[in-house]
Amino acid sequence: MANNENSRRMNDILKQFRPDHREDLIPCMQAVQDREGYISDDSMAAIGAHFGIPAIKVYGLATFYDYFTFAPVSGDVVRICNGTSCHMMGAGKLISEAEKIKQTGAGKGRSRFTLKICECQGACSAGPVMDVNGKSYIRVKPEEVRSITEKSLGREKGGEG
Amino acid sequence: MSLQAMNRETARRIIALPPSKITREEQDLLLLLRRDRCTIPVILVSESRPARVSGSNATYSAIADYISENNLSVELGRCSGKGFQQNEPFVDVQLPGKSRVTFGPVSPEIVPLILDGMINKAIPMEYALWQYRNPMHEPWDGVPFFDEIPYFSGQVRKLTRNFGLSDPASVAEYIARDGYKAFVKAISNYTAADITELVEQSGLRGRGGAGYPTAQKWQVARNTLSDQKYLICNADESDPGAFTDKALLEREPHKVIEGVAIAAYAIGASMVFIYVNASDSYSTDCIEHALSEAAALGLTGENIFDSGFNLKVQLVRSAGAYICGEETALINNLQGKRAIPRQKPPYPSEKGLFGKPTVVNNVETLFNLPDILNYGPQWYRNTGTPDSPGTKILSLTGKLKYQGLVEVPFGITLNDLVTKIGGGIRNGKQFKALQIGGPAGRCIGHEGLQLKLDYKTFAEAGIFLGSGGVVVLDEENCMVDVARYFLRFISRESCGKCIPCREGSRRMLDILNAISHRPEQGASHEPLERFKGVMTLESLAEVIKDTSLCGLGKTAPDTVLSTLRLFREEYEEHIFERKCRAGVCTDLQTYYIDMEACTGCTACAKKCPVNAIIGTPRQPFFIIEQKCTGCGICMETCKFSAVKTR
Repeated sequence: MANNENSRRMNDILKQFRPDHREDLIPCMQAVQDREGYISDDSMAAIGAHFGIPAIKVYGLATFYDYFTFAPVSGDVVRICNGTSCHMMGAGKLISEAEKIKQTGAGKGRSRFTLKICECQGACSAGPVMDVNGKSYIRVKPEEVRSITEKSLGREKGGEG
Repeated sequence: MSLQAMNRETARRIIALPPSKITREEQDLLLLLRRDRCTIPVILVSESRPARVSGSNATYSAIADYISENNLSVELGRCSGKGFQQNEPFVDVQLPGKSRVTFGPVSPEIVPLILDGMINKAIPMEYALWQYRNPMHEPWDGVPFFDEIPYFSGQVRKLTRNFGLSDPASVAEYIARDGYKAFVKAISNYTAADITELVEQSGLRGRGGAGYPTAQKWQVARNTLSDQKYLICNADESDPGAFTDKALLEREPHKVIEGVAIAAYAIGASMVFIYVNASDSYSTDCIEHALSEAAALGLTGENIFDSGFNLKVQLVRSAGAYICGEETALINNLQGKRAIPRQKPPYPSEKGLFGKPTVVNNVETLFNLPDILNYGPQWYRNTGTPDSPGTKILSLTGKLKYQGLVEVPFGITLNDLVTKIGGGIRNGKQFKALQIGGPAGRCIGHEGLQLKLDYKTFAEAGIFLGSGGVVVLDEENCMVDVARYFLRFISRESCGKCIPCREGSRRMLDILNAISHRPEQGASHEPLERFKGVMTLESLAEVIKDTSLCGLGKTAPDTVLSTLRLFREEYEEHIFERKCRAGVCTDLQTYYIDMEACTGCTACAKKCPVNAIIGTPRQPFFIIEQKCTGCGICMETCKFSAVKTR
C-alpha cells in the first residue's frame, strides 16, 4: 500500500516535467527533494526512467549539487551560519560545541537533531547566527549553544507529547 | 501601498506617458505612493533578512496590536531593508506634513513608547535615528538627516536610492518612482543598436567579477545570426560571505526585471532565465511575486506595450554550486548537466545555451540599466572613474562598527570604505586585514588600504573584485584560519574537471590543517615536516593557478598566497611555536590557570564540559592538561581573566 502511495506521489511530480527535455531534469529533482525532503534510491530510478537515462546518472548529478540529500532528515534542525562573516566572528566554536551536544542529544527527551551548516544568511552584523527550527538567535556565544538547543528542543518535545 | 490603489490601465498609462500628460488624479496618486503626501500617519516596518533575524515580524504584530487596541487611524506597511544592519528592526513613522523618521532597534516592548504620543502628533525623538529629507515635509528638530549619518554620507546611493523607502512587494510603488519607464521607452523609441550604443557610452562593466564591458558582450550576441537568443541573469550568489545579489532581488525586484527586459531587447533575446539561489527561498519568493505582477501589467509576454517585442521570463533555481558563477558551467547546469566549465572560445555569446547565442549577465550589471536609460550615459559617468564608471554595491561585513549593504563610487580608497563608512574597527581593536572578493579574492593588509577600488587598479594589483563581499578582520582573527576557511570552501566546490584544482586544493587544505592542529603524540620530526609543507604550499599554489581552466582554479590559491606573503610570521608561529596568537586555532592552545589571579570561584570548573578543572573552592584551581580538549569555555567564563593560554 505504502509503495503504491509513494509511486502515485512520484508520478504526480514527474508528469509536470517533459521527458524529452534534459533541462527539466534538475528542476524535477528539486521538486522531488522539496516534496519528499530527500531523494531516495527509488525516486532516482523513477526519475531516470522518466527521462530515459540510467539512475546512476541521476545519482551522479545529484551528488554534484549541494541541494540534494539522500537520507530523510529528522524533525528538529539546528542551523548554524558559517558564512565568511559569521565564521570570522567565531561560528567555528559554535559548530564544534553543537557537534558535542549532538552526540548526546538535547532537551528533555535527549532528542536527536540534525545539524546543518549553512552559508550567509545576510544578517552578518548580528553574527554568529544560529537557528533552531526556524527561530533565529543572534550574537550567539559558544557557551550559549547548549542552553539554546536544550531550551528550544525541550519545549517542543513537550508540546508534541 | 498596493496595486489596489492603481488599476491596470492607470499603471500602464503612467508607465507609457510623459509626466506632463498624466492627469491630476493620477499625479495625486503618485504623490501618495511615493509617500510625498500622506493623509493619515504611516508606519512602515523594515522587511529584510537581517530584520527578520532580529525579530521584525514580532515588532510588526506588536504595532498591529497597538493600532487595533487604541483604535488608531494609521496605515501600517512594510518597507525594504535599508542596507544598514545595526539597529534592526527599523520602524519608519511619517505623520502628515512632517518628514519621515526612522527608529531602531524597535523591539515589541518599546513599540508603545514610540507610538503613545502619536495621537497628539508627537513622537519621542530621542529614539529616532535619522529623518529623510523631502522639500514637501517639515523636518523635525534635533534629528539628524539621513545623509548626515556617517555610514550613509560616505556612500553614493544611486542604484540603491529607494532601498528602505518603498515596499518591494508593490509594483505600484515602483511605478510611482519612475519604474518601467526606461524599458517602455526603450522598446517604443529605440532600436536594439541604440540601447547597446548608450550602454557602450556609459562604460558599464560586468559586475560578476571580471569586469568585461557589457556592451561588447551584447554586440557579439546581437551580431550572431540565430533564430533564438537567450539572456541569463545570474543572481545565484554562492560566495558564502556576500549578500549583494540576494539583496537586490529582495529590495527592488522590479528594477531587476526592468534591467533584464532592457538587456533582452538589446540583444534580441525573447527568452530570459533568471538564475536564483535555491537555498534562499526569501529572495526567490520576492522575485517570483514581482514577476507575476509584471506579467499582469503586460510588461512581459507577447507584444509588450504594442511594440512587437515578446519576452518570456523564467525563474530557474540553482541547485547550489559555487562553480555556476562561471558562465559555461552555469549553461551546463541549465541544460540539466553537471556544472562543469568548458574551454572558451566559442564564447557563450556566440554559442551558449542549446548552442544558441547566450549572454550571461550578473544581476547587479542589469540593475544599472534602467538608470542609464532614464538619466543618460553622461549622468552615469559622473560617478566613478573614467575606466570604471558608476558605483559598486558591496556587502561590507566583519569586525566593523557599522555593516551592511553599501553603494560606493568606483575610485574610493579601501581606507575610506573601512574608516568612513564602516566606522573603523569596533571595540577599539586593531585592523589586521581585509578580505575582498570571497573565495576567489584575497587578503589585503594595512599597506593595501591606500588602493582605490576600481577595475584598473585592482587588475594591476592582481586582485579579483569578485562578487563584492568585503570582510574586515581584526587582531582577533587568525590568518591561517582565514586561509583554511576559504580553502575548505574551494576544495568542496571544485568541480573536479582539472586535477590541479581538485587535488591541489585538497592537499593545500591538508597542509593548513596539519599546522593548525596539535601534532600526534611521539612524532618528533613534525615541525620539520610541517615547515616543508608550507614551502610546498607556495609552489603548489602556483601550479594550481597556472594549470586550471576556469576562474575558480585560477584564483583559488589567492587567499593562501596573499596571507602567506603578508602574515608569514603567523604561519611560522603556528609551525614552530605551535601558537595561534589570535587564539582561534584552539587546538594549538594549552590552557592554564594563573595562581595569582584565580579566586577559586568555581565558575570555570562548573562550566568545563570534560571536568578537566579541579580544585577546592576559594583556593586556586588547576587544569589537567591531558583531559583538556581546548574548547576555551573556561577562558570565556572566568571573570578575573585568570585562565590563560600558552
